[in-house]
Amino acid sequence: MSEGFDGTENGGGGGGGGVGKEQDRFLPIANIGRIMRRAVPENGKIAKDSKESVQECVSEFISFITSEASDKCLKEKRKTINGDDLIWSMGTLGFEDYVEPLKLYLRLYRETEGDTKGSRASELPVKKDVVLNGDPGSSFEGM
Amino acid sequence: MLSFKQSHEGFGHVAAAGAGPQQQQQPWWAGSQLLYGEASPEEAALRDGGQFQVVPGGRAALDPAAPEPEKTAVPAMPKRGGGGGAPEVLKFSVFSGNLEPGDTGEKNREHSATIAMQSPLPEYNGHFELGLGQSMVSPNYPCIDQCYGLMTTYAMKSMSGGRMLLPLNAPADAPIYVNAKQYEGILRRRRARAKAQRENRLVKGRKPYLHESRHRHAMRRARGSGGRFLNTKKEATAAGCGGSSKTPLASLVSPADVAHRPGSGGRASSLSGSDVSSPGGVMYDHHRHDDADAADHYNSIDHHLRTPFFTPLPIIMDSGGGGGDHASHSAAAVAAPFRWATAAGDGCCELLKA
Repeated sequence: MSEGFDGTENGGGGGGGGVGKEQDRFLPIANIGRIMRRAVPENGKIAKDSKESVQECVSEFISFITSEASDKCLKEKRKTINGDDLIWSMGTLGFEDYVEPLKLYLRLYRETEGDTKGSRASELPVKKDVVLNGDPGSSFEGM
Repeated sequence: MLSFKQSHEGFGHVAAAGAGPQQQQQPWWAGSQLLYGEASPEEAALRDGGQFQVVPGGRAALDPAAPEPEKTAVPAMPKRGGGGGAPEVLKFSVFSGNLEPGDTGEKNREHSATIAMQSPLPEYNGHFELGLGQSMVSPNYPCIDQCYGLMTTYAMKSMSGGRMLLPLNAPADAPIYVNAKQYEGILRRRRARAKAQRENRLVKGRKPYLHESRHRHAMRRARGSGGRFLNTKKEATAAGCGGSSKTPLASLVSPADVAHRPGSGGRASSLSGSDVSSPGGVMYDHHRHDDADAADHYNSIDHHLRTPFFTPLPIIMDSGGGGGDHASHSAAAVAAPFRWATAAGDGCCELLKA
């Protein structure tokens, strides 16, 4: 593979006073690179444009799943999208094979994390879904 | 209507290895042809673009076909983990579908009943080079009366494309077939992207860095032969101590602070890129199950030196591991200081070797 670090690497997400709009639309590219690296041999390298392509695909996939879940919440007049809504929307959009592993994952997650803060619990499952979808093999092994 | 007929040869081989069965088209679709656009480097320079439309059909027929992917999903998994290039390809295919790798084939006009499907990765790469808008990847879903492909939309074209989603226009405009379950979702996403485009909220081109001050600081740092930063050893050691002392405060950090962690990439891009890979590999050798956690710790140490925000340790634990690590979350949190030291030590060893 080609060397992936020509020039400056894009920082992806970042807080503070940054005006970059990609922070609002994309996941942080460093985290995506770490997830991708798990599927690559130790001596393998990942090109920067590969990370950027996967970054856009992953971000679009999140919007795709979330918009379906958002429609469901609108119909049911609820304001908070929780993990069950996301799992349901994945089943609706044709990703049935992910539903059972995700249900198990969410149940284990809730057992360990508890449900002290409702809003916080509704946010984190989204990130976990991303991690799980990024590398389903590891999640199946872990289950 | 512009389209590119050549396909990526090397990628075809990789994708064909794990290709699923090709479905026979129903006579109703005999007249339609599936065209894919792929930009080669030369064509990318010419800045040509392709346009695709989405045509629905055969939704009811999906019900008898639904059990099929469940059977084919299981054998698709062991195929991942091949050569250097294959894991990325297969991973992408799995991500875009129900655990099935992409299906690639030559386009054959003479056999209109047989639809050649192309894995979306090279397609998307070409379009990314062209600077087109975001693309939506439809899954590889075996279905008797449908075939699947890549849908790429330009914001302006997506508005015009929305009006050409009638079956009557299918033969003339070379439609792309998508999973019927996702048809409404794709249209919704198209409208959302068009709205974002109108409000000028889409990302146009990427900046080499996010913050000017950090960029200037990185440019002022001393660099050794090969362009890497000097004095990284001291930073790693100091970060290890700082991280340990601030572990109790990590739980107080809100999830929003997670966004601060990748900010260090813009500041020391070459360092973070190269150093992240090596410690990860080392940790994989010694602590197989803690690979992701160790890598995250190392990055957190790196981040700690560059921003005033504390590292959200529990979130790192969660994002790093899979379901298996979930059960041992409390134990991992307790052992966090030790892991910090371990990660820092391995970083030092790696830096010494370099």
